[in-house]
Amino acid sequence: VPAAGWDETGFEGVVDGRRALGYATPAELADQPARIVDASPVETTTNQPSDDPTPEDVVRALGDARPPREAVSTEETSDKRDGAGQPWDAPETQSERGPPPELEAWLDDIEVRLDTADRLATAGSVEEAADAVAAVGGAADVAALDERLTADREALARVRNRCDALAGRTDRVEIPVETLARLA
Amino acid sequence: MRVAVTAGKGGVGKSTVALNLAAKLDAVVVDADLSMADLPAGRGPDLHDVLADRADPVEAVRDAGPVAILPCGRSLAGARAADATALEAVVRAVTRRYDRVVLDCPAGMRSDAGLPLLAADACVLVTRPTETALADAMRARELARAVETPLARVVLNRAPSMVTDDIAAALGAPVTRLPESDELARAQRHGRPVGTVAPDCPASDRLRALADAVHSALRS
Repeated sequence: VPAAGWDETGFEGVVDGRRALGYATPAELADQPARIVDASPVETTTNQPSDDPTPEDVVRALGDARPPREAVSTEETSDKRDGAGQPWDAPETQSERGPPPELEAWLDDIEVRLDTADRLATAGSVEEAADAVAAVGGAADVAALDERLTADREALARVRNRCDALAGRTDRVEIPVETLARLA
Repeated sequence: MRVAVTAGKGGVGKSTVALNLAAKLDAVVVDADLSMADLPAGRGPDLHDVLADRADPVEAVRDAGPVAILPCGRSLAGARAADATALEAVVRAVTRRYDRVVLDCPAGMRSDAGLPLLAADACVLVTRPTETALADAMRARELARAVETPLARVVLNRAPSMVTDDIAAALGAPVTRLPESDELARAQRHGRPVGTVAPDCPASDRLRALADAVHSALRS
């Protein structure tokens, strides 16, 4: 989506006093980088832009979310259809740059269990305790939650160790990208 | 009627809610997540083809299954070729033929999340009862506000029995709580709405209530 006012023939806009205009081009420097092809007064009453956002406004404000051209192989990417990429492929989408949704969902589950446990642990009166136990489902479910949280603690510790080890390695590793590119 | 189902982050159950809401509303569900499609696809033209002007929107709708679906392709090349700004016109064309459309939006704050919201009359925001998920939900709510799409309902997914008044006040819409449900998870794994697997389970009842609430919010 081009910036507001631009199309393939040039720029059209309203000059109110003065107006700055810039563009980038691979062409050689020119003495006359721009040319005025038309200048006429505008009818201010009929030319009010609409307040409703358009799809082009949304793309201008939030950015193009399509995968970059370099990420798309020139051969048909049929191998990607089944999600069968290589682990060293560049991240393709915003979500691949962050933790995968499955991991987030797993952590969310643990957080929900911990919130429930907090409510059980901080009940200040018999009534509050009874309400908290009823919300979990009953005394047997309280015991099950306790057991589940013990398992969560062990799983989190395992993941933390793995994360620490991998994070340490990502800090230390250095690929000589340019040297290898010259060799290839 | 065009309803967008959105979320601030992935993994909160947005596609599950979109598929089931479409089933209860007898609507077409459009998989508008152009780079991370999540709803069942099958063979034939998909939303990538439609947005690249290679297929007709109505002809790309598969309406033989339990829910009519306009699926989205999975390829990077397809996502690259698709013109997302054409989505609004595509949704309008599908609405003319099928009357009701539910859009499954991508998570996030970029234009791919903003454009399906823009194409909808109202949105449903899916979140989980955790601090991080709620913070992301607040941002998604701001995005909907920026494109002037009203929030009809908040879905608090896989939430234990709890008071939801604070969440409703913070997000500015009534909350529907969906309990943890094995039936719902099992149905989703098979790409089916829960009503076809366990029509009388509590999650199915809640989703029916959600559809009724969205329907009346859009009628008034």
